[in-house]
Amino acid sequence: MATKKNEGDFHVALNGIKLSDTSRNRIQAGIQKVVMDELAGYYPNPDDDDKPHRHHFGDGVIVVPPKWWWGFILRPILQNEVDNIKGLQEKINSQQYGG
Amino acid sequence: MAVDSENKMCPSATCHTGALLLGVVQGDKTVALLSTPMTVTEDFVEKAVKAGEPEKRLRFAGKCAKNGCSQWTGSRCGVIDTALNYMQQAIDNTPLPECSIRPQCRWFSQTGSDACKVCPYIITDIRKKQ
Repeated sequence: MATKKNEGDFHVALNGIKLSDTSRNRIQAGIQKVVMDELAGYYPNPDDDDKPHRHHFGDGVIVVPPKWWWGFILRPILQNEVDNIKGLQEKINSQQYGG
Repeated sequence: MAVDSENKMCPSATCHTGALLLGVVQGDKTVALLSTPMTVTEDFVEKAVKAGEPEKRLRFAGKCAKNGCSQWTGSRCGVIDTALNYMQQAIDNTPLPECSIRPQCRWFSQTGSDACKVCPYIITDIRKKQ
């Protein structure tokens, strides 16, 4: 049985067994296939602490993602998005100091 | 740092056959980098796409496309420069994560170990530039 050394390290001890190259390659390929099959469908462990990190990129580059998406997205901000933000800021400012 | 521009690997490639699986996005939005490189197969791509948006859940490394990539500025990759501009705080006192492609990595070749310190905070965006 494979033993779990650390959280993500699994070891299969085959010490003392003289394996042929074919056999060794087959074992290696088999382990890789199982791992890849599992990771293909990987989503974060729901038991993990899901608090976001406090690293923020600056203006014009990072877009805070919508709720359905749980990562940061790195892309250039689009001109129409800049215009929308400016429009919103102007609206807020005019409400704040308008009367 | 001088950039050896030939045969560099992009550490934020799309999920495609022949790419390397570089890391896994965790619940805290950081990327756990795998110290053992694993090659992406056609079967893996099929399963990962079926499970939903692999680039948002996993990080892949592939050949740097240079001019074929919208992030290429003409002489270097713009992603890591942008990330470093805004994540200076992450660089200080951060140990280098284990990485399977560091010697061939485009970002490492451009900016050295600073790139490795912000790399786990970057998630691939596959949308086309508009």
